[in-house]
Amino acid sequence: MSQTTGIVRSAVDDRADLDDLYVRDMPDAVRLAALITGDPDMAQDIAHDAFLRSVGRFRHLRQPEAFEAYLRRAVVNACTSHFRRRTVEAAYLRGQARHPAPVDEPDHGRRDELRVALSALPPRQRAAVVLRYYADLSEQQAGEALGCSAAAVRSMVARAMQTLRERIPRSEDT
Amino acid sequence: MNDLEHDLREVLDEDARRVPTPISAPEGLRRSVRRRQAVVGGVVGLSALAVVAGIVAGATTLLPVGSSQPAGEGPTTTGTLNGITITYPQAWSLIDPDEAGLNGSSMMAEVPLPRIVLALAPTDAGETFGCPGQAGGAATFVMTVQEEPLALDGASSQPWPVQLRTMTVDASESACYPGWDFLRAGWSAAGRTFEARVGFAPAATTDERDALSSAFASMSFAASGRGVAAAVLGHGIAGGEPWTLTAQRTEGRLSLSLEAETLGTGASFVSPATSKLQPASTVLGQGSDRQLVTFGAIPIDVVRVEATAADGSVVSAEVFDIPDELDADSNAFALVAAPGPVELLGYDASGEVVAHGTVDAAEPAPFPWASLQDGRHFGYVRAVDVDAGTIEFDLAYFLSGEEANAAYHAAGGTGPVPNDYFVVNDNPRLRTLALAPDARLRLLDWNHCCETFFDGDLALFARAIGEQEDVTDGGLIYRGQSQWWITVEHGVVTEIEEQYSP
Repeated sequence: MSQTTGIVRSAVDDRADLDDLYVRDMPDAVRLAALITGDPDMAQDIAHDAFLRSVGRFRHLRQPEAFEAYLRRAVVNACTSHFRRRTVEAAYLRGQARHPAPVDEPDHGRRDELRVALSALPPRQRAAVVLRYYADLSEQQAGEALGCSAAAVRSMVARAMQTLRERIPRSEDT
Repeated sequence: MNDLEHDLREVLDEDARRVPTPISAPEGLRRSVRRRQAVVGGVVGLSALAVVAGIVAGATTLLPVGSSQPAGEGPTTTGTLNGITITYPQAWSLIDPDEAGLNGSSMMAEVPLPRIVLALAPTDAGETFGCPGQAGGAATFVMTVQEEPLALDGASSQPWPVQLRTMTVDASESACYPGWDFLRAGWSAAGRTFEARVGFAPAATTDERDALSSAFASMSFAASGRGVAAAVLGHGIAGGEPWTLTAQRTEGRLSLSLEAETLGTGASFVSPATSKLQPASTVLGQGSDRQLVTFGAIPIDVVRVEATAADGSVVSAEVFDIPDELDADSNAFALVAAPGPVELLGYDASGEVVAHGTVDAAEPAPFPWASLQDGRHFGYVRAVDVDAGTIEFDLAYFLSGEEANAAYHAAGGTGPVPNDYFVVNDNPRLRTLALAPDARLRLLDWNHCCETFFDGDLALFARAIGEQEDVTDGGLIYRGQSQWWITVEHGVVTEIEEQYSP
């Protein structure tokens, strides 16, 4: 049994182990949620909820050593659900209001442009980009987190990069 | 690695380093885990959280970890933020939402309206992020005031002062707001419209609640230097659904939008409106209750708009004033009529026709996907257009138990219905439904049948449906002939989920 497996198995019933697990895995989960949602506050909620859900269902996992991957998937799912809900909740006018005319936006340079362009990607594409370029996951691992095939990840990342290139004219790939 | 990938990695790493992360486990974690395990279906958590967290939009940044807060007693102080002057206990903190980042993180675009313009909390210990629920009950309340598009009609148009009223939100299973209760109020003052939301933790004292009420009641308002950016013009009901007509000025254009429970639709007009009306229409409601809503901009001299239907019946429109700050030369109209073509005539004060327009669709449906109400629907996906982002859906009914038996017998079956379910599909009508850009495709993993799903690829799904044959992707199977549950939210399909059938 791996160390992770041992911690998680006992964590369900043991307060100290559960705290250890929380302290060890939550920072990564919060960062991942923040990068996907662009909202550090909501990321706290999402990661916390995903943690509770993951630990709560841990006994049903076929591969207990896969807790981190399971938590990661729960975070990604929660983030995309969060965006779907936000999309649904956003009224037409509010959607308009959240995208001011580009001429009104100050130029914060290429990185901020990249941030804005990144935040405008469809949620699953953004999640795929974050998993590949921040979490450094393979296409296979990213696919497991996103619940899709490696080919689908490759497709999503390619489309995302194409969009980013179009939205940041100054970016000239070498 | 190319430049874009390099920059992307650096931006993500930089943003990740800025994200505050918990340094200790919250009190009650084990209890939360157990409570979570006891929740049937696990549906309470995030959906409740989203509602609750949305209520206090980002205000968790204000909440401290690990220090108890003073009750609302003692001396008070007065401060002004964004034209709002408020008197509150000196021990509390008045926080500028923009400086605290409450109107969006560095990765999100700025929000003109609505935007949070004031926040009040027990402390400004802003470097500590986290859920109040993780802070061991130390954070006992938060109030935010959000500025909304100017309400010319409806509840939020009521003048200040107003009372805070209880919101119906079940936060009992919320991770970040466990057991909190919430209040809200909407009002207009100084040519602006506001909405306040207040959250109290169970540990909030009576003194704190009283002090917060006093602080809320002390607010006074000054006009915004920015003028009116958007305005709610009016409300109505069509097909049993409430709608709201809103105007705003975007990039030099007047935009009108009609927002209903099941859809939002907009129309833009180059100012000023001309004698040739450019109405926008949509149909609200279902079945025999369906009604057409037509709206648009009219020149300032039009004081009355009438719509004549094909059967000769005439319906008068309601005319709304658009604030001069948004468009000095236009007003707006909206009318509700039976679905069908209508002729529009606009009259000036002397009764002369000075504007005209038509809604010529026999069955106006600019948003064909609005033909199914929000919710979950069972049926068959007959076609998928990936480029257009639509599906053709054959609505059916999935019955089980006694309903299934009754329908089975009505269809000529004898004995108990096989497998305890029966599908009724009497209506051949196909509906073209729009897919949300991030619509989720949940397909059964037939290799691990039958409670495991995988997120499918839309193109492969389209191929399977188009060919009516199974398509495989590695070990995954896209079934060309299966049964589906679709989730419609605000008129668009947000999820397609495969139904297991033996």
